[in-house]
Amino acid sequence: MADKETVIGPETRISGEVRGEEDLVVRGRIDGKVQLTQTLTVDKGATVQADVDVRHIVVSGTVVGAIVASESAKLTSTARVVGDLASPRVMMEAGAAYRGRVDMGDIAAARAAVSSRAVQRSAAGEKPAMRPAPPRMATAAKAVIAGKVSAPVAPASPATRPATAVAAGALGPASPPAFPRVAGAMGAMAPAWAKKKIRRR
Amino acid sequence: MAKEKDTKPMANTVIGSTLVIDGEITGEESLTILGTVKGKIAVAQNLVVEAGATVEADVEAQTVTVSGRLTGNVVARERLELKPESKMVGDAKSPRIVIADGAGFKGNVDMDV
Amino acid sequence: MASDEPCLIASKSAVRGQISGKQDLVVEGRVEGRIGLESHLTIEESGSVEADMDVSQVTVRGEARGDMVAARSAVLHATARVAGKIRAPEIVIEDGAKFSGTIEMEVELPAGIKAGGA
Repeated sequence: MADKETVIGPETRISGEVRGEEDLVVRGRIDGKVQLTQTLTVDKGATVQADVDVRHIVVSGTVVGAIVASESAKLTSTARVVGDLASPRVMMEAGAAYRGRVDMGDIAAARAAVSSRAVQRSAAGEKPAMRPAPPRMATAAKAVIAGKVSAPVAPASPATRPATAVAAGALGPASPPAFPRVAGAMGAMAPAWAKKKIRRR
Repeated sequence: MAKEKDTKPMANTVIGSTLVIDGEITGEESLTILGTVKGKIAVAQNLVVEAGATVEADVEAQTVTVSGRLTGNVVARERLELKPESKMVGDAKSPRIVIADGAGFKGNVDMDV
Repeated sequence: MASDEPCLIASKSAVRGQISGKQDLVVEGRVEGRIGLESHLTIEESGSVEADMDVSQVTVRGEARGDMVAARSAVLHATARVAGKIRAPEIVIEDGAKFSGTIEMEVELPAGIKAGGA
C-alpha cells in the first residue's frame, strides 16, 4: 500500500492546487496548478488545465497552461498542448499538436514568471485562467499528413554532387567568413543565443 | 477496459504520500489518500484515508474508511468506518457507522434513525 | 521529389538573397534571405540559414533562424539549433534539438476546454 503511485483516475477531477514530491499520473482531469519535484504524466484522454511546474512532463493527453519542466518535456503523438513551454530538453513526436512559445534557455525566469502569475491569480481569488494564446491557424492546416517525413536527402559524399553546387560562384567569393556575425552568435550554445532578437523581414 | 459496476474498493485514484492537494476532488470512482487533501471531496464510490494521510475536507462518498486523520464533516451513503489509530474530528452521517477500539472521534453522529 | 538531384549550397558557400524553386535544397553552407520552395529543404549540420522559409518540408540538423512555414512537416533533429517561428501541420523535435521561439499548429482541444482563457 505504501508505495502506490499517484494516479488521478479517468473519472476523477481535481480543482485546485496539487503539490508533491513524487510522480503523478493523470488519467482524469486537473484544473488549477500542479507543482511536482518529479514526473507528471498526462495520459491520453486526460486533461490538465493548469500551470505546471515539474521536473519532467510527458504529455499524451491535453494540457492547457504554462509548462515549466526543469529537466525535460515530451509531447507524444497524441499530445494536444496550448501554452508556453520552458524546458532545457523538449521532445515532440510526429502527430503532437502544440501552440505556444518554447524556451529552452532560461528556465528560472520562466518559472518566476509562472509563479508570480499564480500568486496574483490566487490573491485575486479568481479561477485559474489561461493566458490568451496566439490566434488559431487557418483550418487549412488541419489537413492531415499522410505518412512520415521522408528521410532527408543527404547525398553520400561531396564527390557525388559537385555539379549541383550552385550559387556559390554567383555571389562572388562569398564564403561563411563573409557573415561571421551569425556564425559566432549561433555557434555558441549559451542560452543567450536564444534571446537574440529574431530578425524579421 | 470493461467497466465493472461494483462497489468494491477499486482505488482508481490514489493520492500518494508526498502529495498535497488544495482544492476539490470529485469523481465517479474510488479514491485512496495517502497524502494530504484540503478542501472538499465528493466521490461516487469509496474513499479510503490511509494511515499517515491527512484530510481536512468535507467528504461525501459511498463508503468512507479512515485509518489516518480526517477533519471535516463526513457523509457516507453506505458506511463509515474509523479504524484503530484513526482520528476524526467532525460530524458523521451514515446509516452504518463503525468506530474501532482505539479510534479517536469527536463530533456528532447522525445515523438517520 | 521534384528532381533526381537536390540543389546543394556547399559548406564553403554562402548565398544572400532569395532562393525559390521546385527542387529539393540541401544547405551545408550559409543562406541569408528568403527561401521559398515547393519541395524539401534540408539544413545539414554545417549549414546555417537566416531566412524566412516557406517550403513543403524542412529537415534541420544545423542552424536556422527566421520564420519557418512548412506545408507538410518540419523536423528538428538532435543537432538542430533553431530560433524563430515554426508553422507546420506536423512538427517533430528530437531529443537534443535546441529551439527557441513559437510554434503554431492547429490544436483541437476536447469539448469544454478553452485555450483562450478567462
